[in-house]
Amino acid sequence: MPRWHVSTKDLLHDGRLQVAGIVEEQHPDRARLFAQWHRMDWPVMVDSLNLLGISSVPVTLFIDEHGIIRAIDPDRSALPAFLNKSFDKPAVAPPAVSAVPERPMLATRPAADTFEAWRQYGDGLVLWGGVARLSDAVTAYERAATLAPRDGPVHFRLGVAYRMRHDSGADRSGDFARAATQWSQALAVNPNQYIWRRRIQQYGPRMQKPYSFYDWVNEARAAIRERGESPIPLAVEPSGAELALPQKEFVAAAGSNPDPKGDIQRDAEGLIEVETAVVPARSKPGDPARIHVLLNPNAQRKAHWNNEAQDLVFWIDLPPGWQADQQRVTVPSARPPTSRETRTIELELRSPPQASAGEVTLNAFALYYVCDGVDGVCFYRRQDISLKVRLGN
Amino acid sequence: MTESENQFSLTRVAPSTSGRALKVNLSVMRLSIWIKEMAALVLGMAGLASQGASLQVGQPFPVIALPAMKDGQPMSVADFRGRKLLLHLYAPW
Repeated sequence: MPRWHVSTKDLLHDGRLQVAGIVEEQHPDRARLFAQWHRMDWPVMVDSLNLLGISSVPVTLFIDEHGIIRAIDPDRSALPAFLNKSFDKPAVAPPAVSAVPERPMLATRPAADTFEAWRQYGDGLVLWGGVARLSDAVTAYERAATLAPRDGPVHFRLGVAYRMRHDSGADRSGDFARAATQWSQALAVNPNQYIWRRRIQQYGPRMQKPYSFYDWVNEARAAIRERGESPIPLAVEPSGAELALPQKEFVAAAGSNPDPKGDIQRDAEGLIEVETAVVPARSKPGDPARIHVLLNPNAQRKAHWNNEAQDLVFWIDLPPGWQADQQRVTVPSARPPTSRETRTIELELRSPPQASAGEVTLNAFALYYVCDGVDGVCFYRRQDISLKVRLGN
Repeated sequence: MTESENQFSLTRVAPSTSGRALKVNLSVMRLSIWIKEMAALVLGMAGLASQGASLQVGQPFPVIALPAMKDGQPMSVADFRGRKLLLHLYAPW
């Protein structure tokens, strides 16, 4: 694509050609950083919900002066002939308006209780409603999914809305896990949808990754800084799964249980809130799954990490036949004496191939130093964490 | 498709900075993965027509208002009518 960019600069200059892009990305700031890196100075539209329904990228199109597709993935040598040809106006003019509701329509809920109306309402809320309307979008898509449970796009879009709400920090009650479940449901409806599959792989285990999804971010930042520019900041840094390189074999690791007798006092005050997600939401017995555990200081208690003591330690018990690439995980403390950041633990599990379908609960715990911001007291606490892994075809 | 994915990645791993060998290896690795995924991609192209949007030569490109990356304002391919358009559908991942 950027090669096209180079070869079309002169044509753009003399006004004979327009160049535009549509990016399949739910983080617009990541799309902006990518564009800054490649000096893509043409207009780009963000299709965060896969409204176009395309199932593979990249695709380059020649579109004529009437909006008609004239070539799909053409060779660059075909460009002069395309530019010189004058295409007839189509007998039936292409539509000029969007099917997606725009801002003025977002104030009122759909008049009809139909699948299409709720899905379209959800689309409008995600595209134009901002973070403030994400919960309404979730409600709209959930209604659409109830009315049409076999519609793949609505499950995918509901997953995007959950993940967006998770990224916004507005809801920490399990949106990431809900997103993973919805994306799996979407893919179950249409296993050939490449964009949807990629979304699961983005957060999934390394053995199922085709490549690292966002390893380019640091390379892009370095190249941009080298040019004397400031890289566009990202609201949400890529997670471990998003940066991880693929791996052919599952490599199991062991460790020692940091609290084998369960002596450490439990976090009964709930100073740290835990959210977990398993990706993919359902895996075949013998296949890997990536576990995400997010630990957030309780905002109501004004809780914060005490960074002057030991690092956070996470441990997971493995039933017979199960493997983990990390059984004991240490999360280094931040530099300031206290901090309030989300701490994330990611590890990969593999169930035994002979395991039966169903839900398996794995026991884990985290040990951490935390302070209660309300009365200023600091504690060393243990929090038991149940991880539910769904197995099945 | 495979060729264009490859072209896309080779550009992503532009061989002009340090660590070139590693990047070339990475791109070779990705190429091999693409070859393995070719069947899936072909299916994906078939799905392209079956998934709501029908990207076919001779057909209009779907007019759907999407937020512009620059400022979030509504934009669609209809805004580009009147002159020839080279349209890239891509992902940064």
